[in-house]
Amino acid sequence: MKARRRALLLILPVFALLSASCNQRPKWTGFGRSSGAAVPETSSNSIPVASETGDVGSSEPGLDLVWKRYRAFEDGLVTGLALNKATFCQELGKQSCIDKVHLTFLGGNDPFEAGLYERAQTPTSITAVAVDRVVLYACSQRLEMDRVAASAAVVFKYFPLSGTPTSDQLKLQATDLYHRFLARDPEAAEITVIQSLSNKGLAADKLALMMCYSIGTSAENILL
Amino acid sequence: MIKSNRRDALKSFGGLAVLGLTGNAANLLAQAQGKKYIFTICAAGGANIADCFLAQSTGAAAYDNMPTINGSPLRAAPVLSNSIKGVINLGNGYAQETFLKKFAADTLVMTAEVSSVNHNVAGKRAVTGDNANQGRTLPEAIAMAYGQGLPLANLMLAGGGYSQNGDDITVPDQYRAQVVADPLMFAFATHGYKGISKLAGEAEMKIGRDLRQQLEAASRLHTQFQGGRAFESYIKNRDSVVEMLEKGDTVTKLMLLDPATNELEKYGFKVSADINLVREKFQNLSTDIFEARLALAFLATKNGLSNAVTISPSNTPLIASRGTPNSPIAFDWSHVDHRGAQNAMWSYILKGVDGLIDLLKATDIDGDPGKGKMWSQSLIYIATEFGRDKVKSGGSGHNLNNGVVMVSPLLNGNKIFGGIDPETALTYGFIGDTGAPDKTKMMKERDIYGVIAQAMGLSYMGRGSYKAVVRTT
Amino acid sequence: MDVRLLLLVSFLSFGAANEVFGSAAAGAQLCKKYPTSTYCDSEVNSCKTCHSTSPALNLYGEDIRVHLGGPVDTASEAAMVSIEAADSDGDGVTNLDELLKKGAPGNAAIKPSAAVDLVYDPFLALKRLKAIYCGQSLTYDLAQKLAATADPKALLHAELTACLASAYWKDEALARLADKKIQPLAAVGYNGNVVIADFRWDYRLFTYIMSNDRDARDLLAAQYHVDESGKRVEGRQGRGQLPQIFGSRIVIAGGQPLVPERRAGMITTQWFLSFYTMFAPLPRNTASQAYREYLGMDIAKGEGLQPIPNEPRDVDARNVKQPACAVCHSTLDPLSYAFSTYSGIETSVLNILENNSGTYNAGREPWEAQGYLMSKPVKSLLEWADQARNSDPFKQNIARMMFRQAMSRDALPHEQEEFDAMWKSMPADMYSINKLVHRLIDTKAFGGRRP
Repeated sequence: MKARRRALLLILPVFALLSASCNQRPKWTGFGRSSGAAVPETSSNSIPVASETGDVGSSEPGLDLVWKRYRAFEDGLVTGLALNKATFCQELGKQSCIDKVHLTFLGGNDPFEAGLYERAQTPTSITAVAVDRVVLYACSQRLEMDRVAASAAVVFKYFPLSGTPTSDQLKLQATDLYHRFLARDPEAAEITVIQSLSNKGLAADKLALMMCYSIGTSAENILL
Repeated sequence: MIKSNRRDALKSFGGLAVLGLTGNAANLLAQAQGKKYIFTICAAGGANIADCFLAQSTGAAAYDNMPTINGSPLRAAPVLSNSIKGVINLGNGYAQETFLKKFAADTLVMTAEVSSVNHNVAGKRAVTGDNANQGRTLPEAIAMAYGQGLPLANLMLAGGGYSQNGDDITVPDQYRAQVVADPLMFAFATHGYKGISKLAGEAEMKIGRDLRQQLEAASRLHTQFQGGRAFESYIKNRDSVVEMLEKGDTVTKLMLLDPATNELEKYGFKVSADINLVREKFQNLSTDIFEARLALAFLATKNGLSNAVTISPSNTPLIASRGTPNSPIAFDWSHVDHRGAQNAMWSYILKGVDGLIDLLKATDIDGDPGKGKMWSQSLIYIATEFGRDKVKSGGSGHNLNNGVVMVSPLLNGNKIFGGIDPETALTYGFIGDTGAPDKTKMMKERDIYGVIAQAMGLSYMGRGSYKAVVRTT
Repeated sequence: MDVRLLLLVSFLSFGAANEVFGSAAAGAQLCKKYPTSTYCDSEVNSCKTCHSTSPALNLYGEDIRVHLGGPVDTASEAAMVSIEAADSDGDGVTNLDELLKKGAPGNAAIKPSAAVDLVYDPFLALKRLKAIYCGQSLTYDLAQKLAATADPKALLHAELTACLASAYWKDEALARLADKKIQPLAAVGYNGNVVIADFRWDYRLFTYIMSNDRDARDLLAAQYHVDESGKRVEGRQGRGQLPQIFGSRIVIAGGQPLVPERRAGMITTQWFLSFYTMFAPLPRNTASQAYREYLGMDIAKGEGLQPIPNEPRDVDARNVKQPACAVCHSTLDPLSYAFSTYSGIETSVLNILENNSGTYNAGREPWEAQGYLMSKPVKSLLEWADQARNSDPFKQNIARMMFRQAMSRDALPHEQEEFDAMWKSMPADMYSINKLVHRLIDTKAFGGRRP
């Protein structure tokens, strides 16, 4: 042990050469993430959190649901609404919602910089807020794209965004959104609920956005 | 005194408590009056008490030129001229003496010999008292007792073993740690729609959310999975926490980003009204994650969001032209340079705590002067994994023998509970009821937990009595 | 990070509640008396009948403690019998019924399985498998295809096969599964301030072994590595970055310098040995991490304690013979001996230049051949790894890891039979993770719901 300690002393000249540039190196952001992206120094801490172990998450048989975590959730929005994965959701126009700002709340973990080696077992108090923001970013971006595209609109194409939708148009739009988000047809009761929106006095574009939001953030799109 | 007999509690709550679905469960456990705050400051890497308030002028770990601390048994190591091997200045120059001059009356050292020198295991035991209270962490216990109704009662701004959930499966979800990786960006996670679309204001969102609720009620998923833990817990959080956060304008209250370098206005955001207050104490919060976490901890408690916050420094040195205030891998740099790491990191930690206490002393609970200052109901626990070998120079390994610092008006401060042998710099324990030193006794993690619990008014099966350590008014 | 010597205190030292934990005999007695009870299926689980997490007792454990009429080693069976008719967790089912019918007497959320009657829902299973294994949301078109097919299971398996070949699965999902095992720390890893090893090798090796029907036992056997292109490479691997001692940062090590014949997969990479052993003569932390992550037994939680007679000998003078420490160290120290000839971080200039961190050095310490794993002697780390990868705990741990990855929880009692079938099938499936996952998606635990 003493010999080892002596050996350690040999490293002294090495540490003597640490310089102010140490912290300015680009950080590796890990597998499955965009490499080379600058990560603020303030995102560093240490080791793991929470756990997925034990009986804590026990549920009654057959009532268990699986959390649709960040990547599948993102895919559902990007694919479902035909959006650009890299830009569809950025806080302050620069920080990725999925891979950075809301990652842990959406069921991910950052082992390399944040030192989080485990993901949360279940959605946290903040998850629903993050879900709201990300879906709203996605829906509003699609809406504005379709407004510009007019007749070539991709999603919001069943009624004019400046007009007043009919019940049938609402049904068509809702059905399409159910397909895109939940991969199923809406049930009659759900269509009835959607059609009641026409009494709320919302402008067509706002109504379209809220339809998109409400279906996209429904628990069925988060818990599988 | 709040009794939390786990068995009775479980019997009363049935399965719901296990599922984390009953806010009332915590109420039954706590029935607490008012708020109490615990701030666990993680001196990560192994902070040695003999290099701080139990520093000695003779013996194995002696310091030269120790400052004189009048009217206190507590000691202070001097500020050393530290560097990372002669090239990078190390430390912020903050004197331990300064801390004692300001806060000695509320500061105590409690000696202990812990049970693990594995960072992860020891960090967790530092907050669970080695499962003293059925595995419940201190932040979980304090959040349950005094954080009812708070949307983010147990705010976790740390990592490592300190941040892990406790092993008590009866702790409801809302009192489990809410982990925040980036304190500067956290505000964005507290508002569901602000700054996204002009089409989505409060009135529209109300309609959208009502619609969602109706659609869910009509869905097959609702029929099939109603009553399941995941479904119920998610809906409950969404319907209560989101609204609470938004209505309280949490996004503004917690906004720490500098408007000068971020386009906050363009996106409809505003910086916290308290930004100058926290900046005065934490001038480097934009670049120093420890300061940012301290600032967020204060804002979250001040604004009634949290009452149990855990905060750790970064493992990465914050190297700038003038040097770095913190060492690489925090206190664990002691392996390379014991004195340099301990001296710099104690200064780094204490300076941060100094700023936090100043803020708590200046701030009314819930903004209500009638409730008193936040500090009057706060306890700061400087937790660490273990001590280090008792040496004057060179690198040092881990050592179970140590002690911890606690600062609070709820404690019988300006005292050392236990003692230290000056020759070996090894500590020994004390009698909990009388506070009398006992060289044959070692305090353990469960004693640290017990002292804090007693000071905070919590009782549980098997808790010792530490009457001498707790301030009686 | 660093020496991380485990000096765990015994839980015997502070009261009767912990005597239960201190005695593995109590668990053995319970499993002998109620051999089919929920948690008697494996070493890891056996404490759960009485403990929430050791040493914390659950309500049933507390009742046993209260009814103990003598030392826990000899009196616990009588205590169990005396509370058979009671309902410790207050869930309406007696302790005896819980023990005999796959309930959990100390956990109100787990009741006997008789009431469970689930149906397998292919739509639910497809939604889940697309999210978990493809990182995708189910599309309407695919859902329609499922509704139209006469053989939904075939479609599910075809989709799963595609998912398990996807970049998402290999590069992201499997990497996240490895985080806890590798524990990368950017400050001292690749491109950090002080580089002690390059953990990217660990991620590549892990994801390679866990994909494409490879033998998962290679996690503890591989003598090869995987380069950045994803190609298997043999022999010692040079460092990606030159040693740096005269520059802006320190690069102590890199590559994979360990001779292939001394390798045992994930537990002999340079990162694993450097990060967990650091400077320790007896690498207890390295051994306990291997035990925890590859055999599923966490000594810090009192799992997998199998004391070896006359241990701990306290070979490195750490004062672990005292009874308070010996409870764990009588298992941990023998578990660690085989690692003692593998270096951790080597910090002399010469060693940095020669890249000697994480290499084999027969003369490093004298304890290599004195070790034990799961009560059997092991003469070297290669024997340690061979015994480990062919054990039931290894299979159970792999199956548990994949189950948790999918469901974010452990198997519930009513799912135990399906879970057991999963891990027991591994030898027949040549330890293929892909095949294991195919079995998993067929379970009602994965695709079941109430009718």
